[in-house]
Amino acid sequence: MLLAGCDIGSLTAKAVLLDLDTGKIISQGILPVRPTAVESSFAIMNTVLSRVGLSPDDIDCLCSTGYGRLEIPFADMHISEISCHGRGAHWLDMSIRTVVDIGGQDCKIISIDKTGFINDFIMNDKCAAGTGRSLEMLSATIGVPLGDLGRLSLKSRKPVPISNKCSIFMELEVLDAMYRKKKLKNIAHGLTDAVAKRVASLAKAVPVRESVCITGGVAKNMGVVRQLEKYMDIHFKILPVDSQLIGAIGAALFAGDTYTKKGVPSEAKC
Amino acid sequence: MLTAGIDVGTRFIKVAITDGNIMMGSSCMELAANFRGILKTCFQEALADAANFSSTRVRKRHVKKIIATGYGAHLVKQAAYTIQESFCLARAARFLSRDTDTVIDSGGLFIKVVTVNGHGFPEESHVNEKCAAGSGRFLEMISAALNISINEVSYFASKSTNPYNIVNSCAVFAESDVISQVNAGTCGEDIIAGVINVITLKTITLLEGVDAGDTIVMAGGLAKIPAYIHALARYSKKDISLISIDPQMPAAFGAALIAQGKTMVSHQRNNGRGAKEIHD
Repeated sequence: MLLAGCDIGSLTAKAVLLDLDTGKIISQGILPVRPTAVESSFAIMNTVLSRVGLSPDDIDCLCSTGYGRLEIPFADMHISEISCHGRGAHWLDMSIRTVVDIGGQDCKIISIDKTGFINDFIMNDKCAAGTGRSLEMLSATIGVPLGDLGRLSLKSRKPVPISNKCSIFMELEVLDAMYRKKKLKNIAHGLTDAVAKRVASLAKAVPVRESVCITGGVAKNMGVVRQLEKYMDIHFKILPVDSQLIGAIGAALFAGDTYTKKGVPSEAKC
Repeated sequence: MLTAGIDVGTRFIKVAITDGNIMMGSSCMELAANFRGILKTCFQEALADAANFSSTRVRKRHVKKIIATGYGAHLVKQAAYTIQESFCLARAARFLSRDTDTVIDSGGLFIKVVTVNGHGFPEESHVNEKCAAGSGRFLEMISAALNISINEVSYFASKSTNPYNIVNSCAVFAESDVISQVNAGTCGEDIIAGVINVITLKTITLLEGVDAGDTIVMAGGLAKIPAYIHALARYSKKDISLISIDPQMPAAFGAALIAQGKTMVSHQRNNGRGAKEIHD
């Protein structure tokens, strides 16, 4: 049985193809978003299907999630990304009880029960502080590619203090540090520290139980992960797949539930 | 005596050269990573401007005292001392128009509302401390995303019939929000008008926090956008006028005036008090 999960986020589109009989991910893909959710969904599904030489008709059930989930024309169903992240993380590691998801435009802390369903969550999508977008903007300010920011910050022991919460004010402090000729690695450390602090303060609103995992694009930034572990006083469990794909995996699993229960005929067209 | 005021803002650096009560030369440049170089060029330009004005040679050594103000004042090593922006704004506004009660300085990241007392000193000062929603930067980001130059903002905003109601006013999200709105068919005029509304409401909130009085003058880069001033006057139901010099200069000019050493409303004899407050 071939299931698909398609996660259209704010900055990237993710999709996985899951074979439920063997429990293996047979294809996966991540692309930057196109101007509309529809275009992004076609592009990402084409990519993952062509990678394994399958056609859209082979998919038994497709579930969409993420910001653009309601606009995808070929989806059989849609589920909120909060449920999907919980479900996906739980499927990959049964001991997970808390998922910290730091995406492009929001940041959520999701508390799940032992079956993988959601107990409680807190989300910030009003303000860019503590999101990938903020990191992206600030790394552009100091002229370091986003991918190198984490590695660079790990080299530093003395972060430049950044006290503001608003990302734009943070940019100001970063520029100020640049005018005073501070070392780039220390500024990078300060940045990752500020983002982590913001997420950690958000996490105080929900009970954080072990084990905890981190998902979303920012999970790839080791600098943020290190500081977040420090502030939340925990160790993140490492999940065996790309951290950006957890939502799409969760979506595929929900698609499997629906398909096996109700026998939804495949209407997936790509 | 020639004095200079240097206002290091969040986006621009401004230098004003003053002789007595007259602003002889001024210059304004955008900040970039090379801070020292820009400060130097900006200062040179202001000196050249002053030389033009007085038709004599004005050199750097003729400038007897420099006072720095603004967000990045501590970066100016040449300054005798630094003063809070609200003092400079109050001084300049009061000097330029005797009956000023309140100055609104809408700049790159901060909107500052300062009430001025009869002696040209600030009484209350409110600023958006937490968040850059509704600042000049917010407008700048959105107009860049819409491909509208800052000078045309007012023109486009005035053409709007149905301003778009911006819910998420985080300046960082603004850009992607605008792109999705444009894709959804909202026209640029309506989005810009919506942005002007957000900025206006933010300013009104700050204005309501102080005892603003009747005569309000506008300064700062955003004051160059007539649509914003009109909206502000309409919502606050107050008489709001533009400051009589280049709206970006008042803080620098005020700093230069303070550097002159005498209080501008000298007949009120508050010299002692002035000195005490300035050094605070």
